[in-house]
Amino acid sequence: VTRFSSEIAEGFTNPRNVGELASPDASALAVDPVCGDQIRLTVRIEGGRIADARFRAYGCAVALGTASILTGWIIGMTPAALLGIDAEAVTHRVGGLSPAQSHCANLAVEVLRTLAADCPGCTR
Amino acid sequence: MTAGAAGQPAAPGGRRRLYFDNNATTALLPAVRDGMFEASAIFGNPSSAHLYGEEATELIEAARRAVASLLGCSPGQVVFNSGGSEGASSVIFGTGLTHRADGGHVITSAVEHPAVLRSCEFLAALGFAVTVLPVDGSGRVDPAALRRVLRRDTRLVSVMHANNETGTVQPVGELARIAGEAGVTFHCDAVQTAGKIPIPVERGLITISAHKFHGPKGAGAMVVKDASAPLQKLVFGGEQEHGLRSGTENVLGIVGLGLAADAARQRIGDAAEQARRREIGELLRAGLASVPGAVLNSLAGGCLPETVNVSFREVRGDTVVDVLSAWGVAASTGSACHSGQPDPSHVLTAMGLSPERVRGAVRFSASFLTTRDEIGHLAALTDRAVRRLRATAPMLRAEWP
Repeated sequence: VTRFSSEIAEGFTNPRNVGELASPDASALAVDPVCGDQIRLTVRIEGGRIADARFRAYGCAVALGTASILTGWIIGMTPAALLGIDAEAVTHRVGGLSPAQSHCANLAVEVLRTLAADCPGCTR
Repeated sequence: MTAGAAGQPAAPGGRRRLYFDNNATTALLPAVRDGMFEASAIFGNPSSAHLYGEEATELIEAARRAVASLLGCSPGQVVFNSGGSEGASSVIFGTGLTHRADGGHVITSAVEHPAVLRSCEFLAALGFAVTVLPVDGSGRVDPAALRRVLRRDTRLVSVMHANNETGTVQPVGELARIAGEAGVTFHCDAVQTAGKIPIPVERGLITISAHKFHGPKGAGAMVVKDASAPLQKLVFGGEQEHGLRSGTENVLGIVGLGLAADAARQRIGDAAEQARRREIGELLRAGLASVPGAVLNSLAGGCLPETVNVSFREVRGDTVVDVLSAWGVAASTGSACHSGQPDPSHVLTAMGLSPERVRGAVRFSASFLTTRDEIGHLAALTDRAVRRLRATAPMLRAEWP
């Protein structure tokens, strides 16, 4: 599928970590107000680091693929480290985004910042 | 590239390819391809007054007879062009040029192809009045509504035969009669029906495109079954195509169009082929209707059987298309998201469907080459894609904004 990076294609055809944790330590929802794409994350935190993560997503294939990649990426991170992820880092991590797909990087950054803010003991 | 079970090339990774986007374009028939290759030895300019030119002219006139036979008109009524968009633009801009001094009124419908809608918008910008007829929940124009909006200065009525997104067939025979009784030119964009079903427009203009019925891209025709139609030359130069379309003819494309028209005419007249066509359509509808959350937008009986537009609850249609594409399946959606900007289908929206249903819509379009086995595989893969996406979706509406 040439319109998508291999990472994104794998993410939306075989999504990992789909669902919601039953009793998450933190959760976040980001909604693109223009196109309606949604990413929801729930995480469990152990020893100050993200030990498990799940996602749900509605929207274009890139939003789904990005959400799937995010969950694998943030496991092991501290909540504070989430704040260091910007759109450029997301774009690199997902294997590149076309201009038409770049709004998904912004959506990812928004959901990570919201998640960091919801983590216990997070210092913004 | 390896061949799939049904002769389709395999998708990357060895997956079998399934083509269900025949309303976008169709495969070139081997007989058409071979005929075009054979004709490629004839290189003369049809306008040349020598034997090379005469050879090329003979090819064009044979194709003209084939198109006339398919569409039930005389060869002299066939004007070759590049396809449906040029045909529609020629009709609508021709109307505008003819009436540039006195203006007037043009009628079209809300579900037309952008080639018609954008051309009508251009006329509106020039000062013409444009009425856009609504459609009902099945996508059909009410002939009585046309009667109500006709005016003394109406110059043109343009309504498509079948819709490209839903396959809904319009009552163009009746619409053409109503327009004709009022002395108004009728244009029928028959791009989706030419080569599939007869076009019941006895008087008016019909535009078609070869690549929608297994001919080549870049070749089409306008049929002029109305000598009083307000047509104008839009490209100046020679007097090709009865003076309506200057420029050296696309001889090979026209040859391909003629061969595709011959083959299509035989299929239309073949009762067994027509029965198989309906069976394929029923199988396609049944297979897609069995997918969880599926709601058919193409109503049984009023649509081309080859076209099934279906919405899947709680998922986006363009995402279903992308997942299927990754698995080697070609389908389409009228609803897309470009640069994060939603671009919902104007056709489904005009039918009154909810925004959610419009966003979940996918168009699957078969052809006479489609097999029962392919439909079975399509239904299974679509079921898998939709289940996977629905499991991902956070569509818990009560708790989501």
